[in-house]
Amino acid sequence: AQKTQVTSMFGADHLWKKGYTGAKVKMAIFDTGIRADHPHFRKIKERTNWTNEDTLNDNLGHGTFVAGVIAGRNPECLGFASDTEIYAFRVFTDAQVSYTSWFLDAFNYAIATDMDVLNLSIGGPDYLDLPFVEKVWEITASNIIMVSAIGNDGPLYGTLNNPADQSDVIGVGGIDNDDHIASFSSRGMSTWELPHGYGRVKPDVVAYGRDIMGSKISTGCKSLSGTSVASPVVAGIVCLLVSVIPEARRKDLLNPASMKQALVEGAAKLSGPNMYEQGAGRVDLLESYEILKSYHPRASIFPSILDYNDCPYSWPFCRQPLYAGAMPIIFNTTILNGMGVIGYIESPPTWHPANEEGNLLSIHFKYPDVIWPWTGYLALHMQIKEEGAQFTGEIEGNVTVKVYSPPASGESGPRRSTCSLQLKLKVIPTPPRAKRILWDQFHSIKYPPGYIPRDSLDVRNDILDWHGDHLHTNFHIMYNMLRDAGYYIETLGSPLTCFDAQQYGTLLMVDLEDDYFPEEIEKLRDDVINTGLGLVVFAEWYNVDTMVKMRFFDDNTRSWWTPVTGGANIPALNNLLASFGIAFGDKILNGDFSIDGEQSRYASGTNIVRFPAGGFLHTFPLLDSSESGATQNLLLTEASKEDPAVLGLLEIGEGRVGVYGDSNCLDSSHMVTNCYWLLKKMLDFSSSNIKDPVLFSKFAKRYSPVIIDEKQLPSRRTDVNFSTYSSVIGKELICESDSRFEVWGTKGYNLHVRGRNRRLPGYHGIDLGRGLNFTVESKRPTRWRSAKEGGELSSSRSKSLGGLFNRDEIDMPFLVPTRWIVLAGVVASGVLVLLSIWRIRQKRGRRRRASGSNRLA
Amino acid sequence: MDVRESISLQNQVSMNLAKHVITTVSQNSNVIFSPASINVVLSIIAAGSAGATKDQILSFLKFSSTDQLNSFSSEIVSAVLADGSANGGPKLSVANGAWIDKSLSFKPSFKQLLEDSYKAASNQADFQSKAVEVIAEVNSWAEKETNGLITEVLPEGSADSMTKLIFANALYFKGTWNEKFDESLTQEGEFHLLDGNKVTAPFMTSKKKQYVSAYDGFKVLGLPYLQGQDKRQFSMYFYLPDANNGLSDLLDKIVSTPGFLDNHIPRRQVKVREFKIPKFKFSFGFDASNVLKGLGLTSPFSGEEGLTEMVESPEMGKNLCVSNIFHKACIEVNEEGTEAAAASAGVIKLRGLLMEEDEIDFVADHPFLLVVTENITGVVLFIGQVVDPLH
Repeated sequence: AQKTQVTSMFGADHLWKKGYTGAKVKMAIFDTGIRADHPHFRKIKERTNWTNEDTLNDNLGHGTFVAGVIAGRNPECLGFASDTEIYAFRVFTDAQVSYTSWFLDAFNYAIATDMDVLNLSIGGPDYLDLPFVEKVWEITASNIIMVSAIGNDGPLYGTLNNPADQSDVIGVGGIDNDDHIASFSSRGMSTWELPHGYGRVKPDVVAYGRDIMGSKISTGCKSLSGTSVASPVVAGIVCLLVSVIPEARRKDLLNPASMKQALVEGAAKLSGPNMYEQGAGRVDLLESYEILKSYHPRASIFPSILDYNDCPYSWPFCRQPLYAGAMPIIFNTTILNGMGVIGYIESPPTWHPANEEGNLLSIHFKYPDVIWPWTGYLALHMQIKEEGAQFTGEIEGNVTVKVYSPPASGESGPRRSTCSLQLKLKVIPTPPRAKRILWDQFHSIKYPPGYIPRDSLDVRNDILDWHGDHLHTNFHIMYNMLRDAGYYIETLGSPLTCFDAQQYGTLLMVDLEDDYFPEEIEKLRDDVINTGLGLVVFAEWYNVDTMVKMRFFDDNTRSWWTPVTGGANIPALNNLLASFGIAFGDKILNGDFSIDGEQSRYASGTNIVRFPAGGFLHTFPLLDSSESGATQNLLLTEASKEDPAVLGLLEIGEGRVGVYGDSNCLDSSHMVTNCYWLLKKMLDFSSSNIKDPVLFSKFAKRYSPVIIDEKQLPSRRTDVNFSTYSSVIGKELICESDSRFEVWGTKGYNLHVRGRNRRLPGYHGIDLGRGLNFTVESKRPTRWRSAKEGGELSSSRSKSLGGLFNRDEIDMPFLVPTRWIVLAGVVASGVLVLLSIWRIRQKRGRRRRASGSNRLA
Repeated sequence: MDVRESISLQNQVSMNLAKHVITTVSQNSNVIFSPASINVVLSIIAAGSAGATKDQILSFLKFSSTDQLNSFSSEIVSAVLADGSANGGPKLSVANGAWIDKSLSFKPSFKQLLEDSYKAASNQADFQSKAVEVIAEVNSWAEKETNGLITEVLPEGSADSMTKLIFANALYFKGTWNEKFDESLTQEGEFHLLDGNKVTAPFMTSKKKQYVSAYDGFKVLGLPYLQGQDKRQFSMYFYLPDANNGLSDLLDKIVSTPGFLDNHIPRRQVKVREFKIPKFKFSFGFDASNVLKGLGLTSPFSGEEGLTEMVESPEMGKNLCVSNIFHKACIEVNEEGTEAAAASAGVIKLRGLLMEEDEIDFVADHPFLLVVTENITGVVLFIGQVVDPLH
């Protein structure tokens, strides 16, 4: 392993020569402690112990190493800032045990003793540990710059650790000495915004974290790897940078936001990794030094650009252009406000297109009322307007937003700053229906807070389902594969009533844990049978006996943990699929099988126990490892065993349905073998009615239905309060801001309304309203207006959205006047006329209908 | 002295014993024996003796009184050596038997101790005229108590018409690994013998994280046995010297360093790069009395003081001595373990230190020591060495 001095790789000696060595910087190291008389350190100012062990010493080596990287002065393992004052907070025992309460005590003491910088080479997946998260806010609000390791759960995505995933914390990822992202470094995006929002770009920056030299427990140096090492590299750099600013001016200029601005603006973007792997890029000490030297308090947006031409950095955005009719594309940026701990958005953000085509873009903004502490979010929800349905090209422009903070002491007026975010987007014409897939994110439940068990029971060291189950986290390879195969994939973060089935070839439902509203079940039935929507379901194991046995007492939380559902929620899925005569069972099947020359591993999947005649059903000799199944394996003779069905394909009404009992083969987290080939064949069928000769062989055809008594179907757990974790049980059905703008805050595409008007009621309604100078609401069917009035759009922020609409009204007629007038004309001539045309078309078949809507578009 | 401290002392005695067994009986061949088992036999003998014999055993085992020794040993028998199979843990059976010549009879107090504390069956036997049949009887008893794994604990001719008393102790332990090894991954590989030659043996492997720690000059691997609902946790530890012929040095180090076993337990699962351990099965028998004599425990075998607390007749008691302690053990290491069962406990790790442990190799392709331990108490059930997995 290469053991170059990490300080020289960042050019720290340039600052040392200028006399900057971290003097008078109070550096809090939350770790395993340190020995008092350690020869590597000049200034161990104080050691405190917050654990239940009666020692201040480090007996593990972690805390000493971290301190060494920051401030060690042994020539073999030099740290960045040898004059930094070390305050060692011992919050981990020798056995690596720690509790939230110890942290809270230690954080309070760090605030009381007025620390400048705090390093946490520590993290975990629970971003919902509110006492901890709120205390971290208090730390940063107290103007302590917190640097934290992003986590060692890479190369999987959706593995960010808390608190490094917080916007007020500097989250540090690790790179190898050759500037590749270290395999262990956790990848973004943050997952707490799901399902209605989209994850934040994290880590913020990356630094060397493999085979770095640091101090050993009592003397000497050793090498260590991990984001535990990358974090103190940045913390050491921060200490150096703090010491650059004269002591008297530090508290005025330096804060968690200004330091993050200096780091991300100075960072060197690496070619290769995407923004959810590297953030702003590799820390550049000297660039950040230059930025800080001339720094004036200001606000900025991170990332400051979204460029669809910059691939792979802009992955996943650059993998799929925008087009009209799609679910909004959400870009979740962070506002860094170096002007003050508290800040406000002065007026709604505005979009300034650089060219005429830019007016085809409609953006809705989401942001908090108060920007605190030092940071906040600004989420862009972007849609291409209907007039852009045939547009191919690029859209460029800037989003600007004015931020202000109350005056600092001695100042008379508030501090103001205008931040800018540059957009360079690619737009294509709306793809044909058969190429469009909708991914159901809404019905996915993850840890935290619930014990959502892992999907493959073979995986024993990672017992929780915590990677987000998103197209851009643990399903990102599947996403890339589908894009390569020519499909366009959109995300649905709201209930199934919130999308227009006419737009999509297939609804893809993978590994879902939540329940379904009755309205969703009813609409999906209609979507498939009458609207010809394809439905592809990848389920997971569900066995109550096994779940009960998976209960365990957790020492950390001092409580019993019991799975709230199986790998998937089979009773709920069975409710949904009952319309199609399909149900899953409670087996937990494992084994290898081969179909059409493709080897596959079935890893803890379920079985199909109900299936209609006329469909195609595939059975394989797989082993049941559920509690009851294992017993049966022993009791039953070979002859009486029937191979379980795991794959089914069915035509029903206008639509087509494909079901498979295991999602492990699509999930990058713990995949054994992939089954992208199977997914593609199922999509060929569901979207385009292309029947693979093997999947649709006559041997697989069912001439009689597979039936099972209702009582034998898996049932819900009655001993778990599922509503705690569900977005459905005990909740109101509502389309959130991930859905198309026109149904925000409504119940969506309501079945009864659609019966009379098969058009897309939402956005045609808007176009109609604008053209005739009606208000949007006045033309909407009452069904969904009523929900909307209580919804978010009627809040104070809706005024800004209204303002956006108004702008569009002015721009639009000039842009595409002809098409716009035709559209308005047709619609205005009578909704009822369209209705009768629709009825006729339906009888003539699907193809005509599709061409009809193209003409209108 | 608390139990944990006693166990630590006992383990030191055990390691010392192991070193002598290896160096005097079987330097260059496989060894497996149960120090816990031999300690139980010695405890019984101590309970039946007085004077110098008793003192010698007590000092050998580092106890100050027979009461202390008996309460300790019976505690081990009932707590550590109890069967765990009903709870899904390892199958464990310990059986103690005593065969006394029909011309003698046990003192009631001794008989009661045998039965109550050591769960030992006492039998009358006719050594004078039917010594061969008694040997057969003891051997078949041992075979039955060890599920057929140990046959012929008593060699032919080990009892004759002069024999008055035989103590036999059998320990049967069958655990399955907490995580089974994939049989399809097991491959033939070379194993380096102490004489520099190589043999081809089957090696098991795994890509899963393992309890491995690297120390100065050697590595330790812990393979946990399936615990089930049992409170005890049994593990097999492999002590693998870095050098192909480093076994005897490592043994010296273990014996000369107090608390060595306790201080070299891998506590965390780490990623492994190359991971190979051989499959093997062998049995090993020896006359423990010779080894004990070599360690200075001579009195019970010389008959100077006799075993007066054991039998009714004082005269006969004075003339009694232990002629031999035959011990035989059998071990098998294979892939067998639980299928990755659906249910498994876990820990919700709220937050942890984010250091990346380097991947570690563990390639047991040369002689190593192995120890089977109950982790909660630290009691060593078996100690052995593998110098050739094929024999």
